[in-house]
Amino acid sequence: MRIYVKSGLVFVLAGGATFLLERVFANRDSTLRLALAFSVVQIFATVALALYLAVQRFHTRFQKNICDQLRPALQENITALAFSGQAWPTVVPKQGMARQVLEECLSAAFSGLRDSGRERLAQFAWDQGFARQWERACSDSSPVRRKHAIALLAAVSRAETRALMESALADPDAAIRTEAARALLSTGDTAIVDRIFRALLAEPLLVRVLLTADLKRHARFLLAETVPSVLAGGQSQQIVHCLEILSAWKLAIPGFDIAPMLDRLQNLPLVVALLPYVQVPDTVEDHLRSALETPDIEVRCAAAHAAGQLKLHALLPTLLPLLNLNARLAAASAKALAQMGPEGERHLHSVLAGSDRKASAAAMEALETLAVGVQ
Amino acid sequence: MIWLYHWLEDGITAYVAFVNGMSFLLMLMGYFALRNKSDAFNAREIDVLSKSPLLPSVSVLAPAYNEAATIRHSVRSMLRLRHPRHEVILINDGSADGTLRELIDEFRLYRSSRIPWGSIQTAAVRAVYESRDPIPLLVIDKENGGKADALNCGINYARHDLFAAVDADSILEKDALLHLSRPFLKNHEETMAAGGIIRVANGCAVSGGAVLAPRVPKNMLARFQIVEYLRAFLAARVAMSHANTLLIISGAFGLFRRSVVAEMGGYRLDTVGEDMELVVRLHHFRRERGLPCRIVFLPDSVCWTEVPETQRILRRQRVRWQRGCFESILFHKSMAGNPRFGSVGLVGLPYFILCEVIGPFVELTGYVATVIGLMLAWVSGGGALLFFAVSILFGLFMSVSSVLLEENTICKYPDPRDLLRLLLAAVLENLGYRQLNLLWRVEAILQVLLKKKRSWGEMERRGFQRETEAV
Repeated sequence: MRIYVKSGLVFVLAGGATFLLERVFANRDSTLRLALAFSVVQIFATVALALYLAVQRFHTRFQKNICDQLRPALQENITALAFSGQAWPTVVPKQGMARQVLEECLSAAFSGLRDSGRERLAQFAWDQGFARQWERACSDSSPVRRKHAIALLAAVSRAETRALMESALADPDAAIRTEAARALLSTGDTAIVDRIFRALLAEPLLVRVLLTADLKRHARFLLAETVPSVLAGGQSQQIVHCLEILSAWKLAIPGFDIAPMLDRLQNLPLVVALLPYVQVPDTVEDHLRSALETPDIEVRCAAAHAAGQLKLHALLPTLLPLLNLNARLAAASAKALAQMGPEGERHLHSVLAGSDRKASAAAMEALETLAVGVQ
Repeated sequence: MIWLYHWLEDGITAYVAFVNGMSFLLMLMGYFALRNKSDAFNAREIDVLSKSPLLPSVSVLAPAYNEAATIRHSVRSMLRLRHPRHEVILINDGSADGTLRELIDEFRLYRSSRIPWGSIQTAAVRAVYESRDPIPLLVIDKENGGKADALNCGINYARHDLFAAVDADSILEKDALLHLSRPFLKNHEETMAAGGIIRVANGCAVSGGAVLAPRVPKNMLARFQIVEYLRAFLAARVAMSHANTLLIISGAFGLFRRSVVAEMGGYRLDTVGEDMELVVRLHHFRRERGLPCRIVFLPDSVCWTEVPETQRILRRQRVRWQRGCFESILFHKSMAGNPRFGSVGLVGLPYFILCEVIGPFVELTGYVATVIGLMLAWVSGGGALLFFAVSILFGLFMSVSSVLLEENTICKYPDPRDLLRLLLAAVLENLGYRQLNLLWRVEAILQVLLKKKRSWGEMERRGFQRETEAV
């Protein structure tokens, strides 16, 4: 909305300037007057823009040159401070370009350091007022600055900044919520890990994708405590997202009974992705048989995939008719048969000799994939 | 008679004021939208995404017709794209220059039995090939049927959640697919398509399927096109994307939801502007059913392409683009002004009709009327000059602004001399090039109205090899 308001404002200003100028050009035809005023505004705007462009270029270049000159000495001091705890040899810049470059160098150093070195730098950043500067930036109107500040505060990792991070979890910008969640996850506090995992299940895919890897470090705790409770009592969408994360981790809950999940057929594609990692119940065969007969093509393909992975030979009679249906089902079924070993392959060879072109093409593809894999 | 002339003159002035005002507003919106990019991925996020199994998978579809000179480099560059789950499907659309042989030799292809999952009608497929090496490459050899037909064939064979339609002769930046996936991650259910920015590769140093050093080319026509592309992409498309009224995703690089495009029957074959038509049809198809539809443009997802350097080829390209645009509007004219189609029906399409269909005629009429007015002394020399100056100055203002947008956002030309060259091109393009373009646009619209046969024509490629040698 702000973009519309800002654009509208500049537009009105430019229009206003044109109409004001129009009054200056008296004694002319009204259209000509307007054209003349428009031309003057345009000339002014073009020249101003070109000048701005030139000044900006010059300024950037100038800044870059100064930064390039300052950077080596600052980096050297940072390295000495981080690795051997040497005191900062000169006066720490309090403002201006040197401070900016120092902040930039600190930010780069944080990402490459661990343990004591990082701790020393964090202390330095805290003592020199950088953290307070970043805290202020957390309430900036620009999301870019907020995100940057959160990332840097995360590196400082102080108890004092924790409340700020937690409030950033409710930021309207997904990128900032992600950054804050990452920062809080690095504290290792199980209560906050639990809270972030639960909040994540309601977040858009973007946030889930970005945080899944960070959460994996806390998988043991989550699999023992949070995940079972979500799967037992969560809403359908939360359960799907939870299973999605588990499949991305390629981890499952030890001793987890997947049978109740199999009843929720709409989740089956994801549940199936988990099958290799959990203790499969005896009833899985019946569940997959009924899944192979549902009208939902996604569910049928997933069930075929699961049948192949689990090498459930008893499902062969249910899989074979799928070869004569649409291309996707035929491919899934043929792939499952190929995964079942010699018995499945024998069936595929018999399909090859049959008259159904779609089925034989699917069988051929599956056998070929098998052969290329062996090669 | 003179009152009719002045009535016409006033009408044209009002039209020009409206269209220029709209363009200015779009430019402003583009500027503010570009400044407000908080969600652009940083290096760490790119790294996480490139390994995430949760990222929607992508089939990269690249139709190729007589591309033997560049095909190996192009396919290598597509295979090198960073993405955890992507496959490259190259569709050889009946090439007669050994494109297929090049591919078979280079990538150790064998004749595969892969079956298509889709059922869109296309020209006959001769054979399908896969590589003996563990690379996700599928080559489809088919009878010639045109670009849209080749893409439809690719959609039939694609098996991933999304498909990226790319030109085989283009170079995608390594992280382009990851950047372009962003709207699909952010608004998973709503986003139907996303397009990246097309940048001019002429003059750039290219090596190993990647642009090493962006440079402004020596050729003046190519320079004009750089300014034009910046204007079109960084101002208009950013703004239209922000307002969800985007009607074009460049055929050179776009990402689409495969299931939805397949459900709609793929690309239309009876237009030369299949890229624009598909986007408009996506809006039409989804909004007609009351379903959400977001089509997004992302300026940080970059595709480099070679642009024409001769007037003959450029004319052919521009006539084709304008025809495609006009045909797409004609196919979906029922959407214009219809509130059922939301912002697209009420703003996007009417704006396109005003600017792209009526615009060229009004501008041409303006030039002709001024000349007639001068001859019959109905308008003073000073007045005519002033109107001409207004038109030129506005073009100049827009061009300089586009260069500024590029400077302020995705700075790609590091050499200050290149910036000066672009500024010079921004001034000069208004004196001749713009008028030439106007004539081609009028020609294209007349071709459609007179039902003249459509053709794609061929783009003469210099190939990126030459630049590589220069490096």
